[in-house]
Amino acid sequence: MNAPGDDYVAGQPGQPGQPGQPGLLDGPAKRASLLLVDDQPINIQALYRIFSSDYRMLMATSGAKALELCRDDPPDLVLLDVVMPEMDGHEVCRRLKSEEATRNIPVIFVTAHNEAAEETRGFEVGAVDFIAKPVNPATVRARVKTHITLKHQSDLLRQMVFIDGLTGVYNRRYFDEQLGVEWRRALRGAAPLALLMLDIDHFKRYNDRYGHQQGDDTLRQVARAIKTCLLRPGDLAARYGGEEFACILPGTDFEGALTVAERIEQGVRELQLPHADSETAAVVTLSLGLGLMQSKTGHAADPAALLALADAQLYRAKHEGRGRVCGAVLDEAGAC
Amino acid sequence: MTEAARHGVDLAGALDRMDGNRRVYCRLLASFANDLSALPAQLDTLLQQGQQVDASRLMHTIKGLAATLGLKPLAQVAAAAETLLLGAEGPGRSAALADSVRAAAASAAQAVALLRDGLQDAPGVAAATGGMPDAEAAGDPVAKAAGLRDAVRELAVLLRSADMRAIDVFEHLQQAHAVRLRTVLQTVLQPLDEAMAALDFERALVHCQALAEEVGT
Repeated sequence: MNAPGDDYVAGQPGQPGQPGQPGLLDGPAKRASLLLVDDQPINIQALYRIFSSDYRMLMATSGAKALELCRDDPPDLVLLDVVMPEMDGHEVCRRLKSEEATRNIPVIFVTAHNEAAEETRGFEVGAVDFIAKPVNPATVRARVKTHITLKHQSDLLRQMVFIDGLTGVYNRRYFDEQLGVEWRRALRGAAPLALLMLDIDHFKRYNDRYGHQQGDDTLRQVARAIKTCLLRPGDLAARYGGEEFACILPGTDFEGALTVAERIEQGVRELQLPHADSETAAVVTLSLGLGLMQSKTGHAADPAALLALADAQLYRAKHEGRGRVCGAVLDEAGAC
Repeated sequence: MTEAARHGVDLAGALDRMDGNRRVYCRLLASFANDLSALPAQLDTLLQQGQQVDASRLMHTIKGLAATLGLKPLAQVAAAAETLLLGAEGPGRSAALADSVRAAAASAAQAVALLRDGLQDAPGVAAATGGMPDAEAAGDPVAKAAGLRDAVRELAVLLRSADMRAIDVFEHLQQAHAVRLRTVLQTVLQPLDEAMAALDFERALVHCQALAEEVGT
């Protein structure tokens, strides 16, 4: 069977392709994920067999757990049982649809109810489709494939909204969202999370001397150089504002992040873009601040603390002469 | 198998829903057998307490499970009971209703037993459930121990993210490292096995971490 998930990549936050290039799909492909929600393990096990070779399958045996999973690691589709103790499927769907972070996840009800009123109720709370138990494997495969495809396409459209028009890397809005997502993912997976803040040295003087058109061109070249230095599929580069950029490096330790930062610093220097009014060098250079969150102390802090740390390290790099990298690890108090 | 068909089992439909995986079907039948044995008492208690809605929900759940597993007659009786219990006549007919559910459950339990016997003998099931030749007897013990540590670590990651592949990794882990697990770690393995079967991944993670300590990660 031709797996619908094979060429899918854009839906998962944190695993984007290469934004701003002709193929948004040219990053490493990631399988689409399906969340199965049912209070009966037997039902989950049976559905798992139908889909295990096509999708990444997540499961929850309660409504509360399903909501938690959707917030932490949004799946591309939810297959939701209606009758469950404590929180039923209708309530789960209603809550998913009422939250910004989860409202775009399509929900299909899988239920042994077979009355029209029941279906109407399901559509009213925001479901996209209905599948009757016991499921017909061919039907459920086809419907899931259809809705995953639709989700994929709308994700691509939404992703356009997250790209910086000038440089082709992600914009500030996407960066802010992803920092939160990656922060939670890192804590859950007990993995480190590195954040780089980057600033082009003496950029105002550059614009004053070479003009804004030349300045824009330099921003584009620097953005491209930054992106080239990020090698892992989960790494993300964004334009933070003006001549400032930011990189999120999930699962990267301090040494690793420092290596990436130094590679970027070197990479931009090697562009050999003349900057006659720079006090740092004869060419365009970057100052970089590195902040690292270690999962064992990260629980006591938040993404804003990591951002502040990376920012403080950027300031330090500027202060110590520019064209260099400074870094620090977030401690328990979340202080710099 | 023909015996089971006489009990109204839709074996082909059920296997189709498990992607033809007889081993999984067997395991789910075993799990449902436990539900079935508890069912009559559960229903009686709810009816005695006059909890019609909860009793109807119970019937709804049984209807869905029975239908998924191909136990059609029980699914039909449960469907009828689900509807009846919510109607005005529900309370007055609870005794007759409980009787018919009890009879259908007993017949389904027989069918399940027949199915399990029949499927155990089928090719592809016996090899994976018992009498597994121990693959780990051969090979480098150091590499083997490292392999077990890696598998346990992978299992923990999957459990933490509620990824169903944990089921497959756990099954493979049990098969590939049967000797070591059987001799040294049975006390740790048993509760992990139970938590996995119930899809209680949070509890499974706790036992998985205990296993990780045992194998020295």
